[in-house]
This record gives sequence, structure tokens and C-alpha cells, in this order.
Amino acid sequence: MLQYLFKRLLSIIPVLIGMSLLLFFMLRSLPGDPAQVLAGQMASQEDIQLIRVQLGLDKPVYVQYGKFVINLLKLDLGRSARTQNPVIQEIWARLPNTITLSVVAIVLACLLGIPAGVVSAIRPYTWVDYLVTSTALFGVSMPVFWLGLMLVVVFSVMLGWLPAGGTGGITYLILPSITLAAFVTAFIARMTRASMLESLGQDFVTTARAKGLRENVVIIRHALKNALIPIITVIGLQFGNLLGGAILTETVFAWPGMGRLIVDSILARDYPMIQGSILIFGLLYVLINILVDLLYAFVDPRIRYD
Amino acid sequence: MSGGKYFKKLFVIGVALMAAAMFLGAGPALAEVKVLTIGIGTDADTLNPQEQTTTLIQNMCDLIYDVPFYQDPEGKLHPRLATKTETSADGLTVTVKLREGVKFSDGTPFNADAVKLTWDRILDPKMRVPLRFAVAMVQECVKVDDYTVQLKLKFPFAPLVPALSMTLVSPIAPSAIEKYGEDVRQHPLGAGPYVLSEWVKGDRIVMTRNPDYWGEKPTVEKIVWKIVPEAATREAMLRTGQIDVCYKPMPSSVAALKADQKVTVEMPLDTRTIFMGLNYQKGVTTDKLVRQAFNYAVDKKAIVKKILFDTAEPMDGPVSPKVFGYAKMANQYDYDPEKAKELLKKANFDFNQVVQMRTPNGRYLFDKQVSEAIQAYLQAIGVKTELRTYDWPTYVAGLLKPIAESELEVFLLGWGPLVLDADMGLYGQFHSSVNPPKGLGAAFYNNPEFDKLMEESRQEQDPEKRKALLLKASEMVWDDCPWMWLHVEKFVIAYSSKIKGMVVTPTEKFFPQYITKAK
Amino acid sequence: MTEPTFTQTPQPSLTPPAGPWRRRWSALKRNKAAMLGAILILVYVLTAAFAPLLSPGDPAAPDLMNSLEGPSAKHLLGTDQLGRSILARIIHGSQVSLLIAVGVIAVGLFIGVPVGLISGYYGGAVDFIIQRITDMFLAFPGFLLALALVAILGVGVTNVVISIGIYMIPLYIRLVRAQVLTVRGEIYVEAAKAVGTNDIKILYKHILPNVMVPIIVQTSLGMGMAILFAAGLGFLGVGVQPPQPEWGTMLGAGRSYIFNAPHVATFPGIAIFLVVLGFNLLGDGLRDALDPRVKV
Repeated sequence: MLQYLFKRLLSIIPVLIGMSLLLFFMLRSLPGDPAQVLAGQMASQEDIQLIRVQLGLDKPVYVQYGKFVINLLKLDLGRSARTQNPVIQEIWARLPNTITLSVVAIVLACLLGIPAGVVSAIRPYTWVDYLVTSTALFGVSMPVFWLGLMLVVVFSVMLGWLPAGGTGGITYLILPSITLAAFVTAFIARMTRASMLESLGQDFVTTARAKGLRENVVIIRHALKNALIPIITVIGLQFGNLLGGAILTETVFAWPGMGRLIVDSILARDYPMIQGSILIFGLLYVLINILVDLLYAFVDPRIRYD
Repeated sequence: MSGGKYFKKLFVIGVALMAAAMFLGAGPALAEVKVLTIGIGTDADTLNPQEQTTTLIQNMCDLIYDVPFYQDPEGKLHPRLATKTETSADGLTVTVKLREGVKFSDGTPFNADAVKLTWDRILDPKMRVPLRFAVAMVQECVKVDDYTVQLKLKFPFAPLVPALSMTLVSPIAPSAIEKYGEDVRQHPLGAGPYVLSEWVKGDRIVMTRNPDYWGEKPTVEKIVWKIVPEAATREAMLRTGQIDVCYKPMPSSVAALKADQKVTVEMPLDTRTIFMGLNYQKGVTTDKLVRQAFNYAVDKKAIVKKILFDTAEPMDGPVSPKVFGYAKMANQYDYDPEKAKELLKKANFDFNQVVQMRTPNGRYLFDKQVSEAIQAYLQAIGVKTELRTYDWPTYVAGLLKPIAESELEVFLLGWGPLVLDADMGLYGQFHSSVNPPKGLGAAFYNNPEFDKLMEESRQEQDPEKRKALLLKASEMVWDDCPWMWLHVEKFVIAYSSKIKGMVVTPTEKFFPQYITKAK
Repeated sequence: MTEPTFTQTPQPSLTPPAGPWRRRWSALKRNKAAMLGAILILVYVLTAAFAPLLSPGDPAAPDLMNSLEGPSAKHLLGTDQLGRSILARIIHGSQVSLLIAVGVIAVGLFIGVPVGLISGYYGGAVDFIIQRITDMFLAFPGFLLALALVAILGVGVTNVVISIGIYMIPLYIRLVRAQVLTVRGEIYVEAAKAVGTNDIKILYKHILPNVMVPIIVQTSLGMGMAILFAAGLGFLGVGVQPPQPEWGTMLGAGRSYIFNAPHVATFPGIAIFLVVLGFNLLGDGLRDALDPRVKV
């Protein structure tokens, strides 16, 4: 088990190296000059060149990459071109917000999605099922930013019940987390339903029923437990997507998170900032999926990593 | 401020107070404002005034640092950290008297050393000062005594004194520079009415009143700049009362906001002009007739009304009406598609070629929509076009190519002078020395006569004579049409109608420190 | 934006041995939801095909004096900020979104499927390398990857297709590989190997047909996803070139008029929603009909 974990953690390294390489050269092929953007419309060529030198952009790309890697080994992500602050500091200021939003959204999605999926799987092709599946389909098919805007219009502007954006108390979390959760809830409900239908049809469920166990026990202890693996997989993968995909939600709701930071950085060609944020995202994604793998063993004792 | 004026102001405030009290019918309705929350679109990158190029953040810097002179909405200069200036007869030395008895917010004294240090930093080629060009004629700053400095110029430059109202020249406390080095951009320290008290990245910037401020005590104790990138959200927050001030609401909502009793909308004309550059030295637009035809082809009034919801005004001269040296031009290029077609015929225009248009997307108010409308107007007179959109960094890189490599034909751009003087608008866009790659005069306008007029105007110390020179230059460039003259933007700001006394300037700044707020 | 992720390991095989497609078709036909999805898609494809005939006018002809008008007899869905008919733009926009969706899927299929087949079939070092590269791409948040790519390539239909397509490739690789692994050891594959059939033929004749079902299902879902992705890019202002009508771009522009002319953002939103719903309904139906393990 530990050995497996160690191996998995080790496998992160080549992924991150590959990512950084890809990212680095991808960014350098972006049209537009960060120094120009920083200097503004009225700056002289000398001033722009000066900024270029300060940012190290006058050196060949491989030298820049070498410097980046050396700094990375020292756990230094460099300084933002735009604010001159250490990248790690800028990320640190925003990452907790994105994680809060994502965790709330995921928990919300699980609390709603799993029971909904179970209920509809128990009574397939009844009105309950149709209600759940169609609602879920609506959720999956709706453009997130559109949903967000419509929620603002209804609940903040028309009804005045909830703040339209920003951060503060728990009320500020409601609309953005619902928006972000809508899609995942739908996805989890669908996955739960499919996987429950499958496990309800399996022999061990029939056996359990034949043994005269109560239906609740059969469903929760046997069928759901068995169906959990694909559900957890989906949650793990969706978490990665959530982290990356919070961009539009964060934009609509003025949520000071990572998504917004990355979009702004792309628009300002703030290379160190983009590199740092996406690497952190990649790292989180890989870690979460390792965690998901470990959860399998917990959920299903038949799976052993050795 | 003279004593009489001060009294007048007190009197006005007193009357306002009484009026408000009567109106509300209960107790002292106007009081000190504990917290003022302002919804804005972007976080500050740096609060070092020498590095800042964004007006909104300069606005914040002004509250923290104060400026040597304050230019009021009418363009008049008021003494702040400096009390008066004197220009030598040859125009090469400007003596600046500083206000005495002023302290930075950490208690260290404000004096000639502090001002000199700031100027040394501005002029140091190793420092990042994007707006240095605005004071590039200054050779050096010399300390005369503790409260006097002299600016030595490389050549006479009449509009220098108004430039001393720019955030660019706000002094930073030397003690802060010593303590933080270049990180002073995150730890601003000045002599202004406010002190930075909290900065939560991406979320809010909080300022509290500087108890030792030299001037009149601000009425607002705490200013919270809340970062809300989405304009629709910002506006919703204003309506729900989460914020008191909404910086630049959506133009499409201006009418509705104005109709709302709970909201006051101010939208003074700005200095920024939006235009379609027409390459003067390359392609179809080298022909003056074609350039004029394009100007007649577009209904600018309709664009302003329908796309911009009257948050702009059509240009009627080459610079904003708000600047010194502006004059309305005699000949207006009013919408006249027939005349446009006629001019094109006269120019033997080839209607089969495709004219390349380009526009940034999201840099200026509805820039892409404006370009799309212009594309349609040109197509309506038979000119085939292709319009491409770019994000700003890509776009600006394309603008700066020298004429040999330039692919520019017809392109949208904006230009917003930072002081209320026509020099930055006319010289900064049309003098041949600012043709790319040296400057952003991307229309490649090149007219030796115009150049000469502008150079003369910079030497002319007499305001009336200078005005006449600027007028002559304006007429020349207006006739030559290196741009499709589109519109002058308005600076829109909406706030709770409980607030009175907000000062809003044509340079897109606003000063809330002396507002009053009904309960 | 969140997006559907292709379900991956360790879900057990979805693949039955190649069987009678006719039986599957009749199962699908009984599924009302799937049929509804099919109808939505049919309407969508027909709209795209006959856009110039159906459209009430020129989608690119502005009429500033009549901008931002609500739905009326003259303009069924109202007009946008330049006074263009929203109905005409939605109808013509269907061409753009269909083009993008088909293009994205084509990129994913033509690169992802062969690579996935090879990776799963040969295993070993080839598999290892391919999987590590796939890992790398998957570790990028998908939407950001597409966003960055469009920023590099510039806006336009082709570049949007490439950007989203690149994101799609590793998803297909993963999916196909997982399926290949489950059929690689089957008797009919072993038998083919034993009689000396060459690898390409085995892959093409024996393995590919047996991994078709999940590919079909996911292609339907992937089309919906591609449309959502493209709309998200358009919303952020990096979609297609004006005056080409694209739904996401229309929605993004409509955001500025959300209070005084909500119809501008509402109708393109509904169009996106209906089409994506269609693909999702059909995809679900296909899964139910084609997967024998889901007991009805």
C-alpha cells in the first residue's frame, strides 16, 4: 500500500516536468509582449525594453526555461510580471477561495446527486425517475455562465434575497456554489443512477434479497456500496474540472479565486503567474486522483494496491 | 484656498445640511460617513504612483499620496503639496514651491528632499516608469532650499505645469522606500488624506482616514474598494445596497439607473477619444479623398446613441472638448453616404478590393460592436471589408510595427490624455515623431507643416497664442482625416442618491473624501 | 465551465461482443427520451443545412435604429445590439456550432482512437509513454487549455476546433485504451493471433468493432460538450470572427444588456441548451440501448 502510494507520488514528477515544458513553450508562442502590456499605451520603446530586461524576456527561451526549472527546484515560482509580487503569494491569496467554493459545490452535489440517483434507480421509469433524470439532463446541458447570470437576475436583482457577488458571510457562497454545483450534481445523479441500476441487477443483490434482508439494507449496504466506485471516480475527475472550470462562475460572481486570476494573467501575458497557477492546478488534480484511488481500497476491500 | 472661498464652501455645506434635514424631517441627517464601499472592476497591481498606468488605480494613489497640484473638472489648477510655480523667461527652469508643515502618514516630514527623490526615481532610466514620456523634457530636479525645488528642462515645454497634476509625480515617503525598497508598491506611504489599511488580493482594498492629513479633514472614515469584475454584478450590488458607488456600470443600464430614485448617475465627458485609424502612409487610405469618404460614410450619432447608449459624444474636433486648445471644427463630417460614394468615385476607388479592419475586443467600451457597425456602414457604400478581432496584447503588438512591416489599414483605437491640454492629444498621436515603433501614433500621420505648428506651440508661453497655434494644427489634421473621428467617451459613475458632494473629473477620476451621506 | 468527463477506469466493460445492431436499434426506438434527443438533433442539423432558406433575413445586416428590440412579429426573437435579427443569427449560428462540434469530434476520433488502440493493444513502453503524455494533458484544466490555445492561435472557427480538439484527444485515448484492455484477452482475439492475422487487421476487424459502442455513446455526449466549450470561449470573447454569428459569442455580448434587454442573452442560451440536451438525451439512450448490463 505504502509502496503503491510512493510510486504514485513519484509518477507526479514526470507529469509536472512535461506540463511545465509544454506550458512554458506554449506561453512563449503567445502573440503579444508582456512588457508592452505592462508599460501601457504611451510608454517609450526604451522603457518597454527596460521592462523586458527586468522580466528576463530578452534572454533566449531555453535560458528562461532553465532559470524557471532551477527556481522551481527551490520551490520558487518567481514573481508576477504584473504585480511584482511572488507568484506563490498571489496564489496563496486566492487558492483558498477557489477551494472553498469547489468543496462546497462538491459536497452540495453529493448530498443532492447521490440520493437523487439512488431514488431514481430504485424506481426506474416512474415519474420520480423521469423527474430526476430530466432535471439532471437540464443541469448537464445548461451553459454555466448563463445559469449564473439568470440566478443573479432572479435572486439578487428581482427578489433581492441574496448578494449578487463578492465574498463575505455564508450568503455570498450560495449562488456561486449552486451555479458551480448544478452541473456536477447532475453528473453525479446520472452516474449514481447508471451504476445503481447495474449493481441492482447483479447476483449478490438478488442473493441479499433472497436472504430476506430489508430492502433499505439491500440498497444501501449492498447495491450502493458496490456502485460507489464509479461514483467516486466521477467525483474525483469532476473535482479537477471544478478547479479548472470555476473560471466562468468566478467571473460572473466576482469570486476572488484562481480562475479569475488565470484569465487576467492570460490577458496580461503574465507568464510567471500563468505558469505557477496552472502547475498548482495540475498538482492538485493529480493529488486528488491519487486520493480517489486510495478511496477505492477503502470502499471496496477487494481492491489491494500491492 | 482663500479664506473667503472657504467660508463660502462652509456656507454651502451648511445650507445643504439644513435642506437635507428639512427634507428628511428628522434630526441631523448628515453625518460622518463611517464606511464607503466602492465597487470596481480590477484589483490594483501596484500602488507605486510612478509605475501606475491605470486611471482607477491612479485615483487610489491620489488618495494615499496626494498630488503637487489638483486639476479640477474645469481644468483649473489648485495648489496641494506644491503651492506655486514660476517659469523662467527662457522657459528652461520651473521653480516649484512646496507646502510647509506637511508630514507623511508615518510622521516623517514632506520636503524638498522627498520631492527630489521622487523626481530622481522618475528620471532614472533603470526604474520602471511607463508614463515617463509625459515629463521626459525634465533634465533634473534640483533642491533649492527645504521647501523649494527647481525642474531644469531640456527644452521649453509650456504644458509642464498642468502635468504636475498627474499621479505620476506624486511623492512617496523616502522612509518607505528605505524600508521596503521596490516593495513599496505593495506598501504605499504618502502624504494624502488616506492610509492603506488592508489589501486582500483580488477581493478588496481598504483605506482609512489619515489623522495627520494637512488639509481639510475628510468626512469619510473608511473607503473600501471592492473588486467586482462583472459589471452586471457590480450594478446589482449597487441596487441591493451592498456597495455605495458603482464604478463604470454597464452603458446599457445607464438609462435605467438614471430613472432609479435611489441612484445618482454622473457622466461627465472624458478626455479619451475613440477613433478608427486610417493608415496615412500605406494602402487605400493614403488617398485623402478616401479617408474623408470613410468619415462621411459612418453615422457616428447613431453609434453613440444606439451602441453606446449616450455614454459618449460624437467628436466635433480632433480632441476632447474638455481640454485646453479644443475648438469645434467648422466643417463637420455628418453622415452622408451619397457624398461618401461620390468622393470614392472621384478617388477611383477599387470596389473589388477587400479592406482589412481590425479591432481590440474588450479594451474600450463596446469596441467590437462599434467596429462591427462601422464595417456595416462601409459595406453599405459598397466597400468590401474583413474585420478581425484580437485580445489587447496581440492587438497592441500589431500596432507597434514600423511602417514597412505594418499591416494596419483601418483599425480601432482610443487615446486618453491624462491632463486637460490638447498637446497630449495632438502631439501624442499626430506628430511624425510618434509614428510606430517610436510611439503609438499608429495612423502614421506625417505632415511637416503640422509638426512645425506643434513644436512652436510647445515653446509658446502665452496661453492665447498657444491656443491659436493648437487651433491651426487641429484644423489641419481634421481636414486630413488620418482617423475616422468617432466619439469622446464619458466617464460613468453611479452611486447611492444618499451621497452628496462627490467630485467627478473629466480625467476619469472621482474624489469621495468630502461627501456627505443621508441616513 | 465544468464539462462532462468521459467516464474512465475502473468501470467494467461496457462492451458486448459485436452483436445484432438491429436489436439495439429497436431498443433505442423504444426509448422515448432518446428519440426526443434524436429529434432535437435532427431539427438542429436540418436548420444548419437549410439555414439560408429558413432564416428570416441576413444575420449580418445591422439596423442600428432598431437595436435591442424585444420579440415582435417582424423579429420573432427580437434584435441584438446592432439591430440584427436574433432568429436569423441563431439559425445561421447553428452552422457554426455544428461545424465546430463535428470538427472537434473528428480531431478527437481520428487521432484519439488509433492512438488509444495502439496504446491498449501493444502495451509496454509504447503504452507507458502514450499514457504519460495523456496524463500531462489531462492534468491541465480542460477549459483553460482550450482558452490558452485559442489565445495562441487567434480566434476563428478552425482555431477553436483545434483548441477544443486537442483537449478531446486524450479523452478518446483513455476511453479506447480501457476498452481494448478488456477485449485484448478474449478468445476471438487470441484465435486471430494464433492463425497469424496481422496486427492491423486484428485491430481493425476484431478489436475496433468491440469498442465501438462506448465510442458512439461518448461521441454523442462529446458533441454536446464541444458545443458548451465553444460557447464558453465565445462568452469570454475568444470565439469566432465577427460578423459570423456564434451562440456563445451572442450570449457573451448579451450579458451587457442583461437588465434592459434580457432576450439578447436568453435566446442563444436556450439554443445552446436545447442542442446540448439533444446530444445528452441521445447519448444516454444509446448507452441504455447498447449496454446489455443495464437491466430494464
